Amino acid sequence: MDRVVGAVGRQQLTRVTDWLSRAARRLAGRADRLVLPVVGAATLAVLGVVFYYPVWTVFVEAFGDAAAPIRRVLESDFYFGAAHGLFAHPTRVPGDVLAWLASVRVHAAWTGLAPDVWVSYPTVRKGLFGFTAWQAALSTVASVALGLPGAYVLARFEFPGRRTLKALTILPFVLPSIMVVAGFVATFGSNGTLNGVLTTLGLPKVDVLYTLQVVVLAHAFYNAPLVTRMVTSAWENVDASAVETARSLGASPLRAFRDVVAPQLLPALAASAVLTFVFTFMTFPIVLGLGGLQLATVEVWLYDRVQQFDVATAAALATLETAVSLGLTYVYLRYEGRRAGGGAGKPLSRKRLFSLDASDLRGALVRAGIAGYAVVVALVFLAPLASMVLASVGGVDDPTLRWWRFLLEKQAGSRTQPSVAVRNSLLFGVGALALALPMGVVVAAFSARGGRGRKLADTVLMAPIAVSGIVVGFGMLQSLVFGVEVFGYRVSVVGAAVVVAAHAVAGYPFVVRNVAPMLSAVDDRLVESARALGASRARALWDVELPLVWPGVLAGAAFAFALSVGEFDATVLLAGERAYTMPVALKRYLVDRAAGPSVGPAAAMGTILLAVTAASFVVIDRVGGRYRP
Amino acid sequence: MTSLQLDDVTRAFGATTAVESVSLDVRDGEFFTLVGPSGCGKTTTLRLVAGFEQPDAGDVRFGGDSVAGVPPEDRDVGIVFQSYALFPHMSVAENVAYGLRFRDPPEGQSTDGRVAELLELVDLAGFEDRDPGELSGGQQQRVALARALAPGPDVLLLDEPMSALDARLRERLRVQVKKIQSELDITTVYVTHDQSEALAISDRVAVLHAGRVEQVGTPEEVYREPASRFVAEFVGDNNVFDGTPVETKGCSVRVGDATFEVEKEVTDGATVCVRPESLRFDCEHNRFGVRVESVEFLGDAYRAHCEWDGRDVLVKTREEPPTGDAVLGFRPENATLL
Repeated sequence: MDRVVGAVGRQQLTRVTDWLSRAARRLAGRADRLVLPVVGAATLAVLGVVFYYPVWTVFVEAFGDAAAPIRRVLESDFYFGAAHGLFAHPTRVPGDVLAWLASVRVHAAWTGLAPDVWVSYPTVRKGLFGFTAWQAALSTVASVALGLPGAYVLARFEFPGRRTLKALTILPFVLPSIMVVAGFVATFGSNGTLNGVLTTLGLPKVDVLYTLQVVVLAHAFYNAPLVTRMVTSAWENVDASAVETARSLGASPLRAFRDVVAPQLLPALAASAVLTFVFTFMTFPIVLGLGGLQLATVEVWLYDRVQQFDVATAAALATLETAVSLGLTYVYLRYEGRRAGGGAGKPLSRKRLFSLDASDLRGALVRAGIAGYAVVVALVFLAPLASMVLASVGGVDDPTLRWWRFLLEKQAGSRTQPSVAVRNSLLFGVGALALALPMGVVVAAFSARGGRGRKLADTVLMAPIAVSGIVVGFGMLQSLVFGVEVFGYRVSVVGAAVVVAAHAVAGYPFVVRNVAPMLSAVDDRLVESARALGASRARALWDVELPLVWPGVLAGAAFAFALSVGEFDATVLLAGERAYTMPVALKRYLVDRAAGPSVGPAAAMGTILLAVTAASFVVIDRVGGRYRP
Repeated sequence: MTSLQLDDVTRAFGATTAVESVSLDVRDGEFFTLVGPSGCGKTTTLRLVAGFEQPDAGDVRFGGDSVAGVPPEDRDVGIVFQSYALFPHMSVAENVAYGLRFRDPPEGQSTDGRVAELLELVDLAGFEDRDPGELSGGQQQRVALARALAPGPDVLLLDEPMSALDARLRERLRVQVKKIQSELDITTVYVTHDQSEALAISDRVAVLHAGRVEQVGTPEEVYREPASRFVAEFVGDNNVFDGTPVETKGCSVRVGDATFEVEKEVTDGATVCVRPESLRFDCEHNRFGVRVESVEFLGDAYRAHCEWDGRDVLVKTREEPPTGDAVLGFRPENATLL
């Protein structure tokens, strides 16, 4: 047969195989070309199913029945305090305000040495929203007070460890807040470090848990580094020659600071303050763990309403809270736009912190102040973490590895198995990473390359950041988990899948924010060269851009993983019987006190969370490090 | 035969029209240059050919077939950018071989064989395993050229490939590029803002100005018979005098206090162009009095900047020019009329 085929046949055969290989390549090329649109569409679909649709159902619920749930909340004294009159009976408001003003009394007396003047007025009821804003304002003031001196030290002084300290200010973004709760309980609890020290000194114990002060302090712990980070980078962008010009024109150092430096710091300070306010307005685990229901904020009360199946009220609260946070996020973006970009000029020179000139009194005073500040920082930031790690091994008096063994044991009759929590956390982290990474990279590619996709990509991206985890979790609970009617079938998704999806949605914006700036720095000509050589857009992304931006991808991955492992807000609602994670288990140990002994296992788990956080921080700092809030 | 055709192509970005009704025919194997000042639309034209931009109106054709909607990867073009755009994470050989992942090397060659052949062609044999970052600018640009040529494209597109190099290197590379182009007989579109480079290297030149084609022709045509005032002033140094015809259907033009005889019949609104090298201090024809303001020594010649009743006049001569007041003239056949 072979011989019969002959030369002609062979030629034909070559032609056929040639044609086949060309066709195969063309087919592969087509598939290639579909990759980006398909992943893009899948990203939108995931967002739609696990974010936009669930949040939408919350809004629908809140606006149902002619927005009755929202009106009920707005007109309630419990939720809006004195302000509820604005919605309940607006016509009476001017009269009420006048009546209140009329009852303000100014008292004046003469103590014999000096005049003594005070004002008395009837208390203004704040309501739930008022209290939430009040504690957020206090927390913002505390965060700025704690963070601003840090910016001064980091920007104006040189000392060993300065760069590390500056890098550490990124931690709040990946630090699980429930871990902060564990640290604060280990420090300020009735058997905590503080009371241990007091007892040793022969002083009476104090009970500061469940007070507004400790909540505000925990918020400052969490947000002061943010203030420090944003103000420091603004300070480092100040052009030294602008200050020198002002000095040469006759300005004193103080005047030059006021006229040249301060105006450049203010936008960063304002942006960080607004961001802190948003975060503390939507605060959840810290208030839940350190305040309890008696200090409930909107988010905590919303969580409680969901637990009580008061869906209408929960939806109304979620809608109002989201409106507030979207408004504030808009304000933040306005300030962010005004922050200067990379400093082109020469930065201000830093003074050596440890070269003391004895004759310089002012310098000595400044250094004494910095030393005092360093003590405060060490107490506020190190004490909770150190106390937690210490508590995980039983403290100084009773060293034990019991709690670590406890994490691996099977607890008979307990609903919360520590080993399951550890395993779930790690599995969900990997799952969320696998989902968030392609989503984030594709959105970054659309965002960085500009064009029509850009505005859309940015909007799609910002939305999950501005909506709280509890609202997303609540929406998913009442849509996906309770079931959705699709073509006559009731579809419901439960457990791990929902949790992983929620984590991916929370984490992917961080992938985008790490990858997009590096992608847009890649020369467009590289991609165009690849395309002219025959690569499809997806192929060019894979062959050329990703290898060049892998540090950003790695940093984004570290973010996404750390966020998933630490995520609490959505998880606590969605976890249910089987899909609980370490943060949820922590909460069950600390808050419910139903799952077994309290501080020990919580501290051990908190220490694992701290280790994951620290590892992801090292990755972010070593390879990425370009993240800007 | 036409291998590349632009038919009444327009491309606008927002309010600015980068390319307006451009029609061009590039012949098979031709070295065709788009030249013009920055912002004239030459790079946009090249990107329209490559497929990185789509025309708002008009059509781009390869070998007679419209390529509307065909993405760059399916157009069989090779492109070289000013910034080299070598993939920094790949070796020289990997860079050159990149296009062979998507297209087979021509004539059944192996990938390695093709890479070796091209590196040989650009005088970089033995550089296979180097990183692009280790190479000089000129070497990087030759790698980029080899990479663009490796898959055997139908059309080679060069976007200011030598602008980042110093003058001497640029001249050497120019000769090499031209030699490779004629050896491979590949249709080439070259973009440059440097008119002397365009004249030196091209088979034909298109002068672009504000998104429009001012003139298409051989370098000699464009230099000797500029079709517009813009071309006359942009291509080479030139002296352009606005004048009025002395009589209808005559051959003389009045410019200021002088009357110039030219070889062509003058219609209304006559503009006379005389190249600096055509002006002489000892010429008997078309004389006018100038004041020599400054003289530069160029090595092989002198260049004199003169002033004639408020007009700047540029003269290039072998002999050292006089100083102060002098008389210039030129032969009628050396003047062009616009």
